[in-house]
Amino acid sequence: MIVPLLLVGLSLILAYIGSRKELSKMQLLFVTLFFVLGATGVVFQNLAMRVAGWFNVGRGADLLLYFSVLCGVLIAANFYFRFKQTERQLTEIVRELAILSPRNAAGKTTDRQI
Amino acid sequence: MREIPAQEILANAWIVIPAWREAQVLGGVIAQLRGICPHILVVDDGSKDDTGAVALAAGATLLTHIVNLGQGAALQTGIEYALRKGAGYIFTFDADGQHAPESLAVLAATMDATGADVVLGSRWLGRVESMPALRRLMLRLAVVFTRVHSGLNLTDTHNGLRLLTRAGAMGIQITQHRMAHASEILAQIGTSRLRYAEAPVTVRYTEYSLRKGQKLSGMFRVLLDIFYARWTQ
Repeated sequence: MIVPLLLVGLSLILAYIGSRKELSKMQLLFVTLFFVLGATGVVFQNLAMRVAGWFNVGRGADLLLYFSVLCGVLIAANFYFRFKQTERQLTEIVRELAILSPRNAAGKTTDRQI
Repeated sequence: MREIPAQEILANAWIVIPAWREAQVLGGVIAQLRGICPHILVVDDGSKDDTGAVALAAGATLLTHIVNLGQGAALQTGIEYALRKGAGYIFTFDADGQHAPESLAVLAATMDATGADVVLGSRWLGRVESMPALRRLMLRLAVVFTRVHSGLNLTDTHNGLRLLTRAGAMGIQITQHRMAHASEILAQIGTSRLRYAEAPVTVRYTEYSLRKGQKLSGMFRVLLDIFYARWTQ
C-alpha cells in the first residue's frame, strides 16, 4: 500500500515543481532523475540490493539513505550558492543607492550624474 | 617612476572611513582629520545610531548603506565613489579612533619616496599603544597566515590604514564584505603585481576600540570567508 502512495506523492510533488516553472530545464531534469532513481530503488528492492552490492553497501535501504543524503547536500549547496548570488546583487543595489545619494552638511548633494 | 611630493598627495586625496555604529567617537576622528585632506568621506554601513548625523555635523561627505553589509563592502563603496569623483589618492581610515591622523603624512611620504601604488600602515614598524596580549597574538598569527595566503612579505596584515594611488584603487576590487577584506586586498595586491610598501604608523587601543574590534571568534569567520572565496574562484 505504501508504494503506490509514495509514487503518487512523488508524482504530485514533481508535477507541482514543474508547474512552478522556477527551475531551469537542467535542474528539473536532475530533480526528475533523482525522483525516478529513488522510486525505482523503493519499488524494485532486489534491484536496489544488487546495485548496493556494486558499491559494497550492505543493503538497498542503506544505498537509498546515502543517496538521499547526497541529494540533501547538493540541494543545500545549491541554496547556498543562490544565497551568495542574491547577496552580491543586494550589495550592488545598496552600493549604487549610496553612491547616487551623497550628502553633506548643507543637505543632499545634487550630483546624480556621477 | 615619477616622484610626487607628499604634500601634493595629501592635497589630492580622499579619506574613506567605513563606519558602523560609531556615533560615540566619529565626530572626534573627523575633527582631527579636517585640514589634512580636502575630502573626508564617511560610509555609514547601515548604522541604527546617529553615525550619519555625526559625520554630517563634523563636515564629512556621507554615503549611506540602507542595510548593514560589512566593513569590506563599505570600503569598496567609498573607494568607488571617490574614484568616480576623480580622486587621485585614497586613504582608508578606521572610524573607531585607533589611527593617528599624523600617520597620513607618513604614508604620503612613503609613497613619495617609494613610488608604490599601495602603502600599507604597519603598527609593528611604528608604535602600538595599550594593546592586549591576546590581540597581539591574534595579529601575529594573522601576519603568518596572510604571508602564506598572499605571498607578500609584510609585517602587519590587518591594518585599516592604507594609501592607494588611483591606479592602485582601481586594481583592487573588494568582494569580501566582512573582515576578510583585509586579506583579500593583500591577495589582490599580490596577483595584480601592484607596487606596495609599508609605512610605520601609530595604533592606539582604547576600551572603546577593543570593544568594537575583532574578536577571536571573528578570526574563524575570516578564515571561512577566505576559504570560501578561494574555493569559488
